Amino acid sequence: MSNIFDAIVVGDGYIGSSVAYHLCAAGLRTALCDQGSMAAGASRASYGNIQIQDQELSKSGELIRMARTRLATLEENLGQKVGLRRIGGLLLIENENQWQMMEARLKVLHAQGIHSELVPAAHLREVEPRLDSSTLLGGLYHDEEGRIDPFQLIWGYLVRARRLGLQEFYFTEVIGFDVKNGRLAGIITSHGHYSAGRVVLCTGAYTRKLGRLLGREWDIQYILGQAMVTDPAEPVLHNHISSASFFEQTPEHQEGVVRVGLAISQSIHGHLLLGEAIAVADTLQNRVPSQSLQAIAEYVLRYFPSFCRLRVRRSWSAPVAYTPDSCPWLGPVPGIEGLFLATAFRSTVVVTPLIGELVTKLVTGGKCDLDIDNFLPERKLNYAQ
Amino acid sequence: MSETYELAVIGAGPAGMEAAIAASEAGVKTVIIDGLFREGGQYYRKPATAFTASRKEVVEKEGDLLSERLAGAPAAKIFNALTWGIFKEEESEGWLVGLYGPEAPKWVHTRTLILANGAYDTPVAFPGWTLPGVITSGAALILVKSQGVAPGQRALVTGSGPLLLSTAAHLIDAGVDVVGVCETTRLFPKGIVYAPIMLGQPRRMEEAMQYLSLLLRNQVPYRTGWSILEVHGHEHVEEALIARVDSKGVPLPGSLRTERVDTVVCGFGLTPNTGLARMMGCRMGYQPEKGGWVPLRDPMLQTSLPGVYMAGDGAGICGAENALLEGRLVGTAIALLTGHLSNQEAGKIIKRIGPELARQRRFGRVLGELFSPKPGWTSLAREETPLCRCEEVSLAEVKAAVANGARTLGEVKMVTRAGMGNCQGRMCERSVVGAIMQACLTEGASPDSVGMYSIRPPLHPLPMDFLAEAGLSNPPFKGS
Amino acid sequence: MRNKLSGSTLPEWQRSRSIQIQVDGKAIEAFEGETVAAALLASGIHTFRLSRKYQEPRGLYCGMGICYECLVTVNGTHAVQACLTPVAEGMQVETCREWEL
Repeated sequence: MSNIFDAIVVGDGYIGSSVAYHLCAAGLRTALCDQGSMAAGASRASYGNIQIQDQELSKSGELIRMARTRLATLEENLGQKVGLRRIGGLLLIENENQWQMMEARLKVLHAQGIHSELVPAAHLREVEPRLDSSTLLGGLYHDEEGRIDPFQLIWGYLVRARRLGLQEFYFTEVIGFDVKNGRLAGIITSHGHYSAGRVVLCTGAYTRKLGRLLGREWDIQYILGQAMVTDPAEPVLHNHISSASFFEQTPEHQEGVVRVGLAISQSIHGHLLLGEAIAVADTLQNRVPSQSLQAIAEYVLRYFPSFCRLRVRRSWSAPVAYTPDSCPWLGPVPGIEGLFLATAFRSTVVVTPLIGELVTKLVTGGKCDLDIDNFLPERKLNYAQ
Repeated sequence: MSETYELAVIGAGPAGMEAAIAASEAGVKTVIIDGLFREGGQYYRKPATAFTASRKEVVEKEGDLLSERLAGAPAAKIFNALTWGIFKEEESEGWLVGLYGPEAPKWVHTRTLILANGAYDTPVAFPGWTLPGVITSGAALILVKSQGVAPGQRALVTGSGPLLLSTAAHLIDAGVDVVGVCETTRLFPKGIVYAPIMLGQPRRMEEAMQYLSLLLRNQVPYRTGWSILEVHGHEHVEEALIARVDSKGVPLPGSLRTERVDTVVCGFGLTPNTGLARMMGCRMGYQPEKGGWVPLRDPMLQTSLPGVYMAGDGAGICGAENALLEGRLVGTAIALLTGHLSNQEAGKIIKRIGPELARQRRFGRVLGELFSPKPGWTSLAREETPLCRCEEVSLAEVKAAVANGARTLGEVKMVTRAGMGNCQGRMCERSVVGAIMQACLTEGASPDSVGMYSIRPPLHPLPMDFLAEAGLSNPPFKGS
Repeated sequence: MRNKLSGSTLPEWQRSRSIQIQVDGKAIEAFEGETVAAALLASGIHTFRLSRKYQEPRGLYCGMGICYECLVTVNGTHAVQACLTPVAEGMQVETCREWEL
């Protein structure tokens, strides 16, 4: 088996699988590498939610708008069902500060054509019947969010890509890059050298580590997020539930206190996905910290007390990348011709189909339909929100 | 409030009990924890306290003696407590053990750990295996020995290994009409090679003779080289089809027999319970004669995690005598590690255990080689046979995933949902891996390349209201 | 069926006091110390639940609490493992009851 390709994609999550598929569809001889196998990183922990109203919108508005149109035709274009359906999204407002933030947010959303509404506490149960809103001020509601089945989406891309000649190399870790005179010639891995003139890194939390192999300090951070899944229940949840605290200034890390960014969803099979506990860590690992599940349970039961006898079957922990300006790193790496990044998206599912398409255009023609100036790797990061 | 110990022993079977006795008597502050209502594990499983037995088998008397020794040892005991997760302490070198039980503390802090979780019957999928009335030999023995209840009225016993004889004999004594025993392994000529080692275990030989004579007296056929093929019934087992098999365990055409039964007892050997070890991140190795994936241990039985030791069948199938000796070894190792025994004192004990342990290991290896899973067992399943009982995923679905390019267990799990049920893959891992390897035979797939299910907390499903109250500190947490 | 009370491999049993439990509304005799699974099997009840996807009958399989097949509803609590749960006077057991929140 030859190790010479037109393009190599590193990272087999949402973005990587979409990029790999689109590259194959464009006729490039493509390889897909991952240090694990399918969805080994943050994508494994995904709920599959298509979140719109909590996106970074001041710079990413156009990105999101284009992404949504691609989603609408995804199943048809891919020729594969991925469990795409429409559900609502509800951001719970817990205090006065959050209420004011959501009022301001509403204006931003409407300007982008996203018709969210502010629902006062007294009416929340019309939107979400099982919600105990007694301690809430209200919610920010958008009835046009959505869901896909996370593994079916990635699998869909992989199956189609394989038929177009994709070669996969799993349990293969990138340990170096082959760069000659500012030009990329390939990657060096735990299983040897792979040649390609174009390499796309879709590596989430692991991107920073890879940057260091090139002598670059890339400011892509990560937190460790934990979530858990329950026994299946009858359909009880109408929306994806999160909390407006998501927008609040991140408080100082307190000893012994587990931060939870609320995220509750119900899968097509009826399982409730409950999360997300956030742990700060300086090592990439996927062990679940000792207090995460309890923190999630306590927080969820506050608003959904009728879930008290539901049993938790399993949990997981994954490193999730983020950037200080909440914008992804998308585009060519300055000074290394042929190296591209496509990672650190705030809510990855919605952009997945679009990014595969955009990256393919970037990689083959050098340009894409979207203005990506705000997303370029190594841009001057604006730390003020 | 939670207590701090120097040693927590998870599992109060033969290995766990010996470990707790050895360590605590050497002065180690020890706690032993088990999910059952009292000690004994599966091997020394006790009847309900409300029952009394006026006459006991040798193994029961042994178990009683061990229980007495444990009762006399200065180890704390926590029963009716399921260990749902073990986490590294944030501030210290030790471990945090999460417990779930009506009267159990929620947490135990410990400096070192011995995992002695034992084993469970290896599940083998065949058409009809999910029907009520198909049970494991472990289930049959628990019912007749500890509950005084027979599983049915007419039973077929099938599988491989010495436990089949014991199971059949106990069923006959319980009044069950045992129509036959189907041992898939052809014991001759291979068995003859191992005869000297077998004869070196007089107690076991005596037991085997006792069971065989009981079968003979009741005219119960003991067929070697035969296997279960299918089980039929509407709501319950009504008949079983058996057939001759080749040396790989693959059924041979033309030898079919139908038995009208209401119970099929399956004993295809044992699989180590390695959930906790995997969850904690112990390095594992694939050793089929030990039951599959087992934790890698150094000569003192420490895993790749410092301070975490494993003993008994839970670390690799090797029998009860081996478990007792490993327990004693590992308890001594902890006593040495925590400074309660000197090098010299510990060395003396270990030297005494050494030769007998080596003998038991040889015996265990023999049993493993003779009776370890045959590739043919995975060929018993048909296209529509569920491999994953919990999520009802068939062999056909697993093969379809492989046909679409899946080569690892993780991919198959994500796409078919196999392994996502209540049992976290304990019942289906072997079958699904076998099916993947069978489908990728030409590509040289191996257990290493296919992988194993990743295990995450909770080890057993836990209700939300329990978890919400199970934080370390009180009040537990803050939202954002 | 409950064991006959003699044999070379088995202990001679003395059961303790008999109690009554309800299974699907019917009164069943059980003995203190038995598990729910044993009491059900002794009464000839083998189907404990229906599988979720294909609604197929399921009952006891591993007998030691790791296969999660023997799930019944006990006193209103769902998904209770019958092989690990001791019977109690007046216990209400329901088989094949769908999980509801």
